[in-house]
Amino acid sequence: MSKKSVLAVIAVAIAFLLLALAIQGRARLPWLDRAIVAIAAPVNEKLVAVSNNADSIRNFFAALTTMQEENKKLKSEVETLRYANIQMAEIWAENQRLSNLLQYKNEAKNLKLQTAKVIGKNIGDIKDTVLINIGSNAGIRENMAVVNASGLVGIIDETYPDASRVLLITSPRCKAGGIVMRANSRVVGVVNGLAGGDAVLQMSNMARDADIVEGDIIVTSGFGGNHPSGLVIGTVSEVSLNVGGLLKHAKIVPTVDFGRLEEVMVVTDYQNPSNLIKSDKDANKQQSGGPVK
Amino acid sequence: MSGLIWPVFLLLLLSLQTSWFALFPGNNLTPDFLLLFVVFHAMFSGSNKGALFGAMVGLVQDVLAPTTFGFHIVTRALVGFFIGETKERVFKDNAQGYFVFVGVASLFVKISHFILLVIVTASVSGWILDYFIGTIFYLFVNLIVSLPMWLVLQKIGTWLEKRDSY
Repeated sequence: MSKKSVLAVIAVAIAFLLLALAIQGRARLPWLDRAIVAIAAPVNEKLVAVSNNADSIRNFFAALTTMQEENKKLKSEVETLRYANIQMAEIWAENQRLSNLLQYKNEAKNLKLQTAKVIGKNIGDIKDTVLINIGSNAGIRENMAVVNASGLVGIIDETYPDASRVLLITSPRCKAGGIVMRANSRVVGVVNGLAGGDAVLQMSNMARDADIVEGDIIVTSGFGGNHPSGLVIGTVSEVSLNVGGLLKHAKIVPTVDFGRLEEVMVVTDYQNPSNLIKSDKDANKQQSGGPVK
Repeated sequence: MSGLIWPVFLLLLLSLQTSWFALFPGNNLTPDFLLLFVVFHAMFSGSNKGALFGAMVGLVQDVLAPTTFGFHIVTRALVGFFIGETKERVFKDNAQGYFVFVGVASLFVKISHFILLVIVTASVSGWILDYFIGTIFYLFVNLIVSLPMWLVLQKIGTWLEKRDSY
């Protein structure tokens, strides 16, 4: 037997012995275990990390594709929601305007009002007329007052079967009787537009000692009999004497925002407050059995 | 039939101009489509036809907004006449020329309107600043709209020319 064969037999015998001891749990070679783990663990860790990174990259690309799809979906959703939002805002604004009109309609019991929509504006350079969508077929007649929740808008200038042209109070051509609302003043004058724009109105034909001051609210006087009294026109912003110094005139800032006119109401019939007082008296007399004149 | 195209287009522009506030609510800027149309027509048809066309467009506006009847007729006819005068002198097939003419015509209309207002109101206090700001916006909006307007009018004009040449 050669030397190599003897060594081989010994090595196999030792290996079997170690295996037998390991199987029986008597010797697990902890030092060898630790040494191997000490060498392999960092390498293993690195490999796992690399693998994890690879996973992340794979996931990243997978996520990117998903995200792109999601992004598209979200963008389309955002667009839909934005459109819905605009629609809602539009409806809300319309609702607000109509609520104001309705509130005004309920409060102004002495006025018979017909609601109309503005269908045309800016016809020419002098932007002092608008078209509304009701006309003579709906009982609209020339010179009827047109109002909105803020106050007097203008008067009916021309009627067509299904539309009417409104001459705005800002027109130099439109003149209405105005009165200072303050109880201890009640100065009367003629209100008209200055330049057709929506900035300023003018109240003229007032005596030089007329009691009118900045901040006074001007309402329609109703003296001409064409329009109801008490419709708000605007607030006095400046008072001055005319060139000769004999008459006073005032600049008035209108309460109506003429740039945003969309709905208006036409006063088709009215009772002035003085008549209301009279009719109340008549009603009382009727109740008490007295004569009614 | 082709002769009806311009009147129909004029009515379309009138409707667009008067309902612009509803299409773009919240602002008070409306392009003067009819003036832009007069400028275009005058550039290609000369002083006499330009003035006549301007007067017709002005008549439509004056009938609808008669506060100072005749103002639109006169101003639009003058715009049509003077821009028509340049027919033989200006190279018309580019948008720049139209752009400049729109600017000049817009300023002319606003200055004429200003003079009218000074005569009517006998005063400039209380409204001149608003008027000045309004003029700037009017000019700005007209210039912006002039470019798409040029493209549309050119297309219609070219189409009509081709149609008539057969």
